[in-house]
Amino acid sequence: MMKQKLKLRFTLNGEYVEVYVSPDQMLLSVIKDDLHMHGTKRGCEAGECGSCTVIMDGKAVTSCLIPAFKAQGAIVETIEGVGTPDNLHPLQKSFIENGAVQCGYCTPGMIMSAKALLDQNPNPIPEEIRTAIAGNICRCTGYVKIEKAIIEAAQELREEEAR
Amino acid sequence: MKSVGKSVKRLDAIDKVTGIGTFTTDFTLPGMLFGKVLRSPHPHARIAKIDTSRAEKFPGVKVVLTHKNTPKNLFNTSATMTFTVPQMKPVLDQRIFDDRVRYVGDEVAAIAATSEAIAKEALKLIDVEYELLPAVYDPLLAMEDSAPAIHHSHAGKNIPGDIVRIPFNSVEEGFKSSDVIVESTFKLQVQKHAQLETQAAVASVDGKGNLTVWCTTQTPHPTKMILSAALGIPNNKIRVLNPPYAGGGFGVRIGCSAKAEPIAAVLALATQKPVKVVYSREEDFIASDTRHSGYVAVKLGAKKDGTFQALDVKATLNTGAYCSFGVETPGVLGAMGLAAYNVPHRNYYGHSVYTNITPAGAFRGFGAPQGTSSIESVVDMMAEKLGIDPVELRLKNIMKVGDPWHLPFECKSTGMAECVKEGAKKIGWESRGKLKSDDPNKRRGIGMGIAAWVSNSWPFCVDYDNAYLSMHQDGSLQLSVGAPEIGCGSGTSLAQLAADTLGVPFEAIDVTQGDTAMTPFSIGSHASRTLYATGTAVVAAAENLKQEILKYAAETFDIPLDNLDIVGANIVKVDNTVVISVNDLAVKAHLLDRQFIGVGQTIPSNASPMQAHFAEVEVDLTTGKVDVIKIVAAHDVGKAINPAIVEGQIEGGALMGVGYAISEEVVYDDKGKQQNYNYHYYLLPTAADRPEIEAIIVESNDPTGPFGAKGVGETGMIPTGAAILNAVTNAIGVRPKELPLSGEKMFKLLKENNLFVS
Amino acid sequence: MIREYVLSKTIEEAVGILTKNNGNAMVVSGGTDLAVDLRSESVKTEVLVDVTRIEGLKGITFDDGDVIIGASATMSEISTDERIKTSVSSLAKAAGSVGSVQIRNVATMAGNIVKAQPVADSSVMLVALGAEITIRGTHELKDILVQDAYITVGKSVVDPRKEIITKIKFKKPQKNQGTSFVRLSQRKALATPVINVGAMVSVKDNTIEWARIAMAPVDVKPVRATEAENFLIGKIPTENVFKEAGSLAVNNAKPVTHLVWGSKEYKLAVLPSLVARSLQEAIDEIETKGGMS
Repeated sequence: MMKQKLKLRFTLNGEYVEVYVSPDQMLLSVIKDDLHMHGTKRGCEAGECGSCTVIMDGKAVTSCLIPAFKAQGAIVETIEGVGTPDNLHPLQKSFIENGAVQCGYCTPGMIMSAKALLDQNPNPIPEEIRTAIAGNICRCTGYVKIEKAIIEAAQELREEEAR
Repeated sequence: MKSVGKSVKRLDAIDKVTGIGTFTTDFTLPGMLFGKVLRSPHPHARIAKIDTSRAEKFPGVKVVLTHKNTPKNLFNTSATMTFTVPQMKPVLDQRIFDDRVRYVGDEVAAIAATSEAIAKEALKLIDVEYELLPAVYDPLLAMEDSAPAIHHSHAGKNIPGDIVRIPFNSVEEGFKSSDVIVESTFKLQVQKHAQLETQAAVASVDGKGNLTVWCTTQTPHPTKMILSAALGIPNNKIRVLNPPYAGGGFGVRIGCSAKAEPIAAVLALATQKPVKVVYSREEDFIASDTRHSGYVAVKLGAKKDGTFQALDVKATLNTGAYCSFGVETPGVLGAMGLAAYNVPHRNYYGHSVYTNITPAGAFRGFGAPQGTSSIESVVDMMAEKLGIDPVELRLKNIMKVGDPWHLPFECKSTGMAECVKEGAKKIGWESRGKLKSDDPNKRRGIGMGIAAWVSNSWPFCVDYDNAYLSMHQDGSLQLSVGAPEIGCGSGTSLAQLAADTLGVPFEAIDVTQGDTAMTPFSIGSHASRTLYATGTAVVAAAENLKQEILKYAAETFDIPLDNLDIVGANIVKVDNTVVISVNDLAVKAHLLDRQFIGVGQTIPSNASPMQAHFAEVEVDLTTGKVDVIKIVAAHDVGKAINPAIVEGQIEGGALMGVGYAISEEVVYDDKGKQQNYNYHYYLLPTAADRPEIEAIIVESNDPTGPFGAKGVGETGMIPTGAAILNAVTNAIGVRPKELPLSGEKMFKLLKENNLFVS
Repeated sequence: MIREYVLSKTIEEAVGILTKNNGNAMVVSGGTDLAVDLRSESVKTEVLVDVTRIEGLKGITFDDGDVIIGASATMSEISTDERIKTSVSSLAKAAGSVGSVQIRNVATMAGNIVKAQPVADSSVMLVALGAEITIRGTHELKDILVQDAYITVGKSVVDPRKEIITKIKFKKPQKNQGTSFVRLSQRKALATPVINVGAMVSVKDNTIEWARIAMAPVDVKPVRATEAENFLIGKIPTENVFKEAGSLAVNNAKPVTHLVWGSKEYKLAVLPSLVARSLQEAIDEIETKGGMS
C-alpha cells in the first residue's frame, strides 16, 4: 500500500510550502494530515457541508474535493492565515461580538466563505451573503447571527478601507 | 460589573474563530493507529460464520475484533443506562459486537491499522456468512404476533422496557362533560441530528492499563460508566473527555451512540496503542441515533366556551434496532405534552417499538416535537370547531402558576401568556386569514403552537450535579464542572453565574468542563439542563467559596463576618472600605497554608420554560412547495443569563424545527437501507433557505433556577412544527396530518382535496 | 491505483497522455466528483490528466453570433459573466443553480456533460439552447449536439479515457428569441432538482416560429418535449397555449420514482406547470428585449 508521492509546491497563508503527496490525495488531507493544520475541518468529504472551505487563488473551494495537485503553484489561504488571537480579522471579531459562534465546527469554513465574498464584494446585500454561505452547513445557529456578523464585518472593512 | 443579563463574549469564541480549538477529529497522538468498522449490509441476520484471517494478514493491520474476541457484557449506548430512576430497570440490549445484526449499518467487526486507508481496505477481507432473518420496519407491524422478535421484551411484542401510563383524574368523565370532542392521529418522520462533527473517539491505554478516551460525547461521566460496564473496567481506570470541543450534539452524543468510544477502546486495549475512530458522514447517518418516528393520537374535549375538559394522548414510537432512550422518549412526550394546558382530566399511554432500522434516541426536544405537532394541531381543530380564535383559546386554557399538574414539581413561574401575546403581535396575527399572495396560485397563512418544557432530566431520569470553584494561589478562579461545552455556550453562562454569585468580575474565572478525571460528576449537557441544573451547583459552589474566603478574612482581620463582602477585586466592609484585595488575600492564605475551595452539590428541582411560536407560510398550489416566510419564537426562559447565547439557542432550534416541518426526513427502502445518508440527500436547511426568525425573550424569573433561569437548549425546536402545520392549514383550508410537509406530501394532500393546480 | 497526476499545458499533450496510456488515463476537469468516485472506487485509473490549465480551454468568448464556452470555464465564471447574464440569463441561472459557491468555483459544464447525469442543470439548459460540443481525441475534431452526448445515466458518448471536450458552442439568442430556466427543488442550495426545464422560443410576426424545451430528470438523459415543441409552432403565445404545451410535455417524459428526489407521479404532476412557466418566462424575455412587434 505504499503510494508513490510527488512534490507539490504552493503558497499557504503567505508561506512557500513544499510537500510530497499522493496523486490521489485531496487538498484537505494535505492541509490536515501532512501539514498538521487543524483549523480546517473535515465534515463530509463530499463537498456538501463546507467545513473544509479554504480560499484558493481568491476563490472559496471545499478542500475535500480539490485534488491536491490542483493547488500546484496556487495561493491557498486557510483559517490560520486569516487572523490570530492578538490580531483578529474583522470577520473573526464580528463573529465573536455577534454571537455567531456555537459549536464552532462550521466556523472556520464559514469565515473562509465570508472572506472570499468580502474580498470580491465589499458591500454585499443579504441575498449575496446567503448565496455565498449556502454551501456551509451550520446546524447550531439558524444562520441569523452569522449573516449579521458578515454584514457588520463588511461595514467595518469598508470603514477600515476608507481610513 | 455584574455579568448576568449581559451578552458577554463567549469564552470559547476565539478558539473557534481562529481554528485553534481542538475537536476529536483534529486530535492525534504519537504512534496512533486508525480504526474502521465493518457494518451489516442486512437489516436482520445472524452471523453464522466470521473469518478474519485474510484481514489479519493484510500488511499494516494490527488487530481485527469481532463478537468472538471482545467482551460480551450487555449495555446500552444511551446514557440512560447509567441514570435510570431506581423504580425502573434500564434496558440493556447492546454488546460491543454481537452475533446478530439488527439494522443496515449495525457494527459487525473493527480493524485497527497503521492508516485509515489500510483499515478500510482490510475490511473487505473479513469474510462474513449471514443467515438472513425476517425484518420489520413499521412499529405497528412490529407489534403483531407474526413479526420477528428483535429483542426479548416483556411489555408486549417488541416493546422495550415498560409502557408509560400517565393518568390524571378521569378522561372518561372529562369527555362526558365536554360539549365538543375532536380527535386525530398524526404520523411523524425520522429526523437526523446531522451535527457537523461526526461521531469520533481516540482511545489510549497507559502502563497501568488505564484507559483515556477523547471523544465527541456530550456526557463524559455517564460515557465513562457505560464504557466501564461494557469493558468490565472500574470507573476510576477510565478517563473520558472532550478535546475540549465537540461539533454539535443535539442529543446524539448522550452516551456513545454508534459505539465509536467502546470500539476505539477495545482496539486500543487489544493493540496497546492509541487508536482513532472517526465515522464517515455516511456512518454517522446510518448508525448513530435518530429522532423517533411514529404515530401520535390526540383526543381533546372542551366546553362550548372553550374550556378544556379532557386531553387524551397515545403515542407509538419507532425506536429502531436498539432501545436508546426508547422508554424515556415516549415518557417525556406524554408528560410534557400534557403540561402546557390546565385540563382537569388528562391521560397518556405510550411506548416505543423495536424495528430493523437505525436506532432512534435522544434528539433535541426528546419526543416533544412529535407530541406538540400533534397536540397543537388538535387544539387548532378545536378552535375551528368552536369558532374561537386560536390565540384566545390557548390563553383561556394555558397552565398558570399553582394550577394542578400531573408532574411531581410545581409550576412556579410561567410567562406563557406574555409569549402568546407578544408573539401574536409580532407575527401580525390580526392579518390572519386576510393575507394574499401576489401569485394567484399561492396561498398564505399564519399559525401558532405552544409548549411547556423542562430544565433538566428529573423526574424522567436521575438528575443531580456538582461543581468545584477553586481559587488559585494568585486569586484567579477555576470553575470545574462535569457537563461539557458542546456549543451551547454553557461554560460562559456558568462562569457568569459564578462571577456574580461570588462578586468578582467575569474575567476572573476560567472553566474546565467535561473531563471525568478533572471535574466532579454530572449527567452531562442535555435535557436543556446545563445552565439550570449544573448552574444551581455552580451557584452553590460560589456561595460556599465566598463563605470560605470571607470567614478567613474575618478571622485574619478580626472583622465580624457579616460586615464583609466581596465586591469586584476586593474584600470590603459594609461601608465599602477596602480590607484587602482578593488576590492579596489568596497569596496571604497560600503562604499561611490555605487554599480556598468551594464545592456545590445540588439536586435540582425542575422548572418549565414556556414557549409560543408563530409561523407565516406560503404554499404553492402548482408544486406543493411550502415556503416558510417568518418564524416568531417567544420564549419564557426564566432569566436570560446571556441574551445573545439565549437568542442563538432559540434561532438555531427554530430553523431545525423548520427543517423538521418541511424538508427533513430519513427514509428507508424496502430492504431497510437508509436513503438519506449524507448532506446531499438529507435536506436540512441551508443559509439560503432560512426564513426571517425573530426571537422574543420573556423573563418570568423562576424561583428554583439560578438567578431565575430556566432551560433553553431544546425549546426553539419544539413548537415550530406545530406553528407551521397550523399556518399551512390556515393557508389552504385543509389539515396535513403527516410530517414533513414536503412538496411531494403536500402535492398528494392538495390533489386529494382538489386543490392542486396543474 | 493512481500513480500520476498531470497538469497538462496543451490539448495535444493531454490527448497524447490519454493515447499513450491506452485506457489507463483519465481526464479531470473541475474534479468535484473525483474524491467521491475515488472513495467509492467507481473510478479506476492510473493517470489523471487535469486539463484546467490548458490556455486554449479557458474563458468565454462571444464571436460573430456564437457564444463559445471553454471546456474549463467554471460554473461561477459562466453564472457571473456579464455578457452571459445579459444575453443568455437562463444559462447564468442554470450554472448558478449548481451545488454551492464552492462547487461552482471549480465545476465545469464540460465536466457535467461527461459525467452524464441527466439532471445536471447546465446541461439541460445547453440542450434547450441547441448547444454543441467539440471533442478532440486521436481522431479529428468532432462536433456533436449536447443532446446527443448522452448514452445513459452516468455514461456519455465522450470517453474521458480517450478524448476531451474542448469547447461548448451555441448561437447567441437573437432579439426575437427568448430563453428560460426553471427548477423545482426541495431546498435552495445543494439540491438535486425534482424537475428542471430549459426553454428557448423564437417568435416571428408575434407567433411562435419554433421552440426547444429540455427537461429532466424524466428519462436517462435530458429529454426534449418534442410533442409540445411541435404543437407550439405557429401558435400565438398565450397562457392557454403554454398550458397546453405543458400538458403535452408529459408525453415525452418517462420519470422513475426516487425515494428522495420525488415519485414518478409527483414529477409528472408538476411538469406541465413548470414547462408552461418556462415558456412564459422565455416570451417575457423577448418582450423585455422588444422582440415582439
